[in-house]
Amino acid sequence: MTEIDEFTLEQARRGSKKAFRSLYRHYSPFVWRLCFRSSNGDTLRAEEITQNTFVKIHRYLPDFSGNSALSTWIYTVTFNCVNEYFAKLTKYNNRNVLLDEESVGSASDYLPYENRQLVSQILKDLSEKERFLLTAREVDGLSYEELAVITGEPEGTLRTRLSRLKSDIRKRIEQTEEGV
Amino acid sequence: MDASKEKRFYDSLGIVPQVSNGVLKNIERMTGRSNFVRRGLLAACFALAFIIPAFVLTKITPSAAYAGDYESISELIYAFEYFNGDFDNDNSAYGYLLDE
Repeated sequence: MTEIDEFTLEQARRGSKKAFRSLYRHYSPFVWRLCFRSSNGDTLRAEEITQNTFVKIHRYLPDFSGNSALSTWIYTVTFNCVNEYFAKLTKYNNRNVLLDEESVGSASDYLPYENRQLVSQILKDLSEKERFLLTAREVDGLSYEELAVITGEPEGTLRTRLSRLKSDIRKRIEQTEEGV
Repeated sequence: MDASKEKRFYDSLGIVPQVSNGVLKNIERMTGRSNFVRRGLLAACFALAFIIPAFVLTKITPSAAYAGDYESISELIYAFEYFNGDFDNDNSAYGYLLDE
């Protein structure tokens, strides 16, 4: 991913509204995509998580050390916001709302794959963390090394987890093909 | 299995609607408010840092002591003279306090 220029980053750190807007325009597409997929296509929840993520980015940007790429840091903030959001939902026992037919229906509206029902069913059965990892790895093309930095989990664990996840998805697609 | 089907599955994850314009507006409103709150707290801390010492200082100045504990300036001067005197003497501060 291309990073925002140093000057804009510095201005955003100093609290420039215009620079922060540029930063938002540059990084919001992938933050939004991750939030949208993690919340299984629930637009309202995805918007809420995106908002929380950028409010945190705004607050902690002056503390960004520059040890990693800004995009990696933003992925980390997004990952934490997604986890925090769903942890709160679980705490208040509202998580089932996500599994409503309505929210799954809105997710499948954005699945051009011919077997929409299967895709939405597969996504529904995954946890928000798994959906996040799949999107970051398969859509944004993040390396395992980057994913390890973002999630704080060992690279090997992530490799095994994603490999198992992809194998399960492959099996489900195969089963549907056989069924058809 | 047809590998292209699997690939299309992952490709489909990347196709999402556009983020609403309201999100940026909300973020700007929220970050603006947090700045306002932060600045307000900072101002309150500065005010307290000056007001509390100033308040304490007014409590220990001679004028406040005069206003609070002594009825006239001459009595205050008299008290100072006693405090500066010899404690063993009748004219000492102790003696003054006993007189009181």
